[in-house]
Amino acid sequence: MSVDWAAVYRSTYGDLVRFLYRKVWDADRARDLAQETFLRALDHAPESPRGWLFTIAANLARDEARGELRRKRHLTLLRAEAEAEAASPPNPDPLREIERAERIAAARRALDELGERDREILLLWHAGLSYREIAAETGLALGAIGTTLARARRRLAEAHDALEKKHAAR
Amino acid sequence: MPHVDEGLLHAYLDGAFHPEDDDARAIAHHLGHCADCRARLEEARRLRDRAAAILAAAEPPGLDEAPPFDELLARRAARTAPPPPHRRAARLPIPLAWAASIAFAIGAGWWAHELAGPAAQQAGSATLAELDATRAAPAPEQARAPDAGQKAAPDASAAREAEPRPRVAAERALEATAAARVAPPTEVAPAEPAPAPPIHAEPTAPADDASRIRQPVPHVPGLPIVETAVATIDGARVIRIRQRLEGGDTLEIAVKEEEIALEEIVVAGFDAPPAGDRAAPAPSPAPAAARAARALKTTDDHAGERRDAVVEVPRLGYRLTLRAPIPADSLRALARRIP
Repeated sequence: MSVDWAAVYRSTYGDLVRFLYRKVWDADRARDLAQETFLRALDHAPESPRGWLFTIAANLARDEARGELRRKRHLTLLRAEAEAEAASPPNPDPLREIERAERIAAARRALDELGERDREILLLWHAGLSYREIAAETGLALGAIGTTLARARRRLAEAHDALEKKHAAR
Repeated sequence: MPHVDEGLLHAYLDGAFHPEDDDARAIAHHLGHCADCRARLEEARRLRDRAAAILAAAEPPGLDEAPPFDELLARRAARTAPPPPHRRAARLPIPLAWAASIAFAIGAGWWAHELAGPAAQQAGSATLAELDATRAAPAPEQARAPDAGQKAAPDASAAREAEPRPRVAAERALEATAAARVAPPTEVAPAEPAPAPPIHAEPTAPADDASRIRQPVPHVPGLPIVETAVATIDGARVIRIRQRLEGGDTLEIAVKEEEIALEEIVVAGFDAPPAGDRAAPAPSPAPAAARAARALKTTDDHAGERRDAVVEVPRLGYRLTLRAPIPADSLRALARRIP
């Protein structure tokens, strides 16, 4: 069975790069890893190309994170991700940009509050994978995914609310 | 059937069951009879949408624009050749070079800011030094920050590669100086300051830092500063200052470092006092007013949200953006008070 990788690329690239971005929090690295993921996949013909891509991507992001841990620094201030110069208007409102940076920082910190498995499953769901695909990729029982997602969503929302309150109180 | 378990409710919402599936039927049937579970379903829906919104808000624009598939194929073809020994180092020069040119622009900008209007050094004014002290150390690969050259210094090969760009920037500045010579020579003088950061800023050791961090961050004198934050956006540092207005509203000021446009350099040649007068204690009000008149641009905030006025003030090496829920004229008046 052959895979139409061009079609898979078109339909999956956006979800994959978003998934990676929420793991590495750097737009350029997420793009690099997305490209790398497809490069590694091209010569294969897996049964479920989409699920397979996310497995590769998750592994690459994990390797990346290990390297990241070595130079771990704490984030006391927000940091926006550098965007592709071409993708951004010449003179965007910096106040809005800084707000986006804050939203990204808040989501990142809230996600950090989740357990690793919960976070993984939430991100896979958000990347458009079905319960069945998530179960296949993570080895989690199909019946446990709803419970996991419920817990992950609640924790994410609560952590995010707590951050907002803390921010408002300053 | 007992009440539907929360995990099942989420799975039901997420379309994990085929509608003809026995579980789906049983849940639907129960929901038809149980107001409690219907309420819990709505709660689950709210939670799911909220989580999705938090995640959806957390990404830079343009993230999912896929490069052409052909590019991928070309990369694969390139892989068949032996890979260059230092892939990562080879990739670095572009952002580094860019960062270096920015570092230069900032140095010149902050220096000129001091020349054009030495701001009050009153106690309690936020300085870049204070902000820098609280700023998290950027990781090496986030090499677009203005200080990236310094952070990436250990990578000597990349640093070497990064050198050419600042020279280009410096040349541009020199051209600007030449253009400014149409003015009387004394007014051109600021282009050759004595102790100011060197024009040929070294990307590996930003000499401008030392002088830059003593500068006060532009803000409206006399208004309490509620908060300051620093972000790196598009490789440029943006500082946001929130100040409380007398009416209790919040004034937001963004200071975004920018490369200097040619005409702005030329104009600054007229505005700035001669180099010999660098220590002059107070700026004359006329240049400030002229600067404001030249530069102020008012725009309406995006429709639908708060009715905030937004004022942009380009200055040498940086751009101020002010936003507050007050009339645009009042905001412009506030902008003029910023030294």
